[in-house]
Amino acid sequence: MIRIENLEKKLAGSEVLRNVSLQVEKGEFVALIGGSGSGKSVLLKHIAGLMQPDAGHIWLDGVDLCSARKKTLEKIRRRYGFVFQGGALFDSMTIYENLAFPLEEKTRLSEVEIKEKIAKTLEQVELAGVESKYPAQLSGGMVKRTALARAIIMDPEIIFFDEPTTGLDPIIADSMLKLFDAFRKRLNLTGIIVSHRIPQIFSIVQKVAMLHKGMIITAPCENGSINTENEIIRQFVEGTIEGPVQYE
Amino acid sequence: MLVKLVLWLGGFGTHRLRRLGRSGIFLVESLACLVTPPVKWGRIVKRVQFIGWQSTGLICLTGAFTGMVLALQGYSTLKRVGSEALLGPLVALSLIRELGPVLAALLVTGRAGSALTAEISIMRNNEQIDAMELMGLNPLRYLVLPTMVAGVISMTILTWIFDVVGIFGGYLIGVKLLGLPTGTYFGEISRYLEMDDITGGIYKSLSFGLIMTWICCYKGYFTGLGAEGASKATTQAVVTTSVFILIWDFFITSVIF
Ligand SMILES: Nc1ncnc2c1ncn2[C@@H]1O[C@H](COP(=O)(O)OP(=O)(O)OP(=O)(O)O)[C@@H](O)[C@H]1O
Ligand SMILES: [Mg+2]
Repeated sequence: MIRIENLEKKLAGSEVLRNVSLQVEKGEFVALIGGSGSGKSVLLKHIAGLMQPDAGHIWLDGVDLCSARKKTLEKIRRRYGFVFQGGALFDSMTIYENLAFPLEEKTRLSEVEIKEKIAKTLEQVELAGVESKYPAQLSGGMVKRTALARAIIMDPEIIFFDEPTTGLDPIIADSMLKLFDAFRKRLNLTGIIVSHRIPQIFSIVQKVAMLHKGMIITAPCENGSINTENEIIRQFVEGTIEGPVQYE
Repeated sequence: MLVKLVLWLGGFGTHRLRRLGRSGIFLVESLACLVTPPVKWGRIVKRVQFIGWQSTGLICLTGAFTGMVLALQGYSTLKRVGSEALLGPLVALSLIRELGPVLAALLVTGRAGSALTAEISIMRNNEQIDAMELMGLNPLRYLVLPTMVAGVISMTILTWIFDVVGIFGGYLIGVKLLGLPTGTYFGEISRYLEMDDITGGIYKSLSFGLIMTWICCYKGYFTGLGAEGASKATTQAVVTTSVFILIWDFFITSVIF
């Protein structure tokens, strides 16, 4: 499905991605974890085609994204649902207009159908009733959920969520994770979720990928717990200061 | 030492050249959206409101005072050579051929151009432009082109408002204050004003509108990181646009008049 091979990227003189390889199968969710500044967001932007790597390849169903033409890339992106870390809502538009924008431009739905779809999606993220507000008038958590709603409203097949639950209270955060899990099972979604919600995130993913020093360490996930002997992952997951990695 | 200097100059040159090329491609790709439908008319209207409508107050105020000061200065000059009767044409021709387009363009750049760059910079840094692209919606079509079209439309209309208000300001000073007959003021204008003056002024404001939105959108679109990047981009946009408008004004004047 998604295959990343030996990806390298230098940004502002520092090697953010040194040698990243990762494989995500169809119908699989992968949790992308790693310290702050380790390059998780940068990696997602590469898969979305928003950044070009210095070296390496990203294959999606056999198509090389890094050398794909504009049209091909556009077609692939139609299958994506992407949540940016900061939400990236259009702040000159209301919440309703934010959600309606892709529907109006990219589907043939009637106005009534669009309205229904938006109401339904907002309900799923527990945000009914904010349609006429502007993003600046929402709380951080509400922005996150609106961004989520916008990402799923086009019925994507592949999702990339950059910290979708950060800033939400624990109850809503867990209900969001459950929602993702239900989506995955029902729609056979594939995806990468960046999350610091450890260990809850482990119960909805099949694999954990940890970005560390520009490289990826993976470990399988079963029944809500991570199954690895790798000391670096264990230390990160348990959140201890002492271990193979020394934090200053 | 010399080699280093040459290398540095060369590097500087290619850097400049590359940026120039990038801004050219930016303009061409944006304008290409005009001939490949759909064109987003609704967004153009919103942009006209943003660039044009919100600047009308400023344009009226400055236009009136420009016309008034032109009349004061012109009158005292013309009086020395005994041709006060030509005050009307002096005010009207200065405004329509030169001051209207240029001053309106500089004022709109300060008022709306800076806001455009700031807005687009923020959209870039908040990843709103990336988000648009990911939805398969070309930001040049949805954001930049409507701004450019609106810039051209607004600038032309605003320049006309500036001219008309300015001529009226000259009338207030010349006729009401200095006692020129109304018939002389307007009669001489219609005797000396030619169609070429008017079309020339229109060409100027059309091109200034495009230059302003082009540079301001470009600077915002390729802004630097963070608030510092946005503020730098805004300053650069206003300065570059103003300088470019004055230089372009010289060339276009030498060609069309
Ligand atoms: N556009 C950019 N230009 C220069 N450097 C960048 C850019 N984007 C990211 N970086 C750098 O790349 C590194 C990785 O950033 P990234 O945002 O991917 O981290 P992250 O793993 O998502 O962190 P967090 O968990 O805090 O979101 C950082 O050191 C950052 O400074
Ligand atoms: Mg991040």
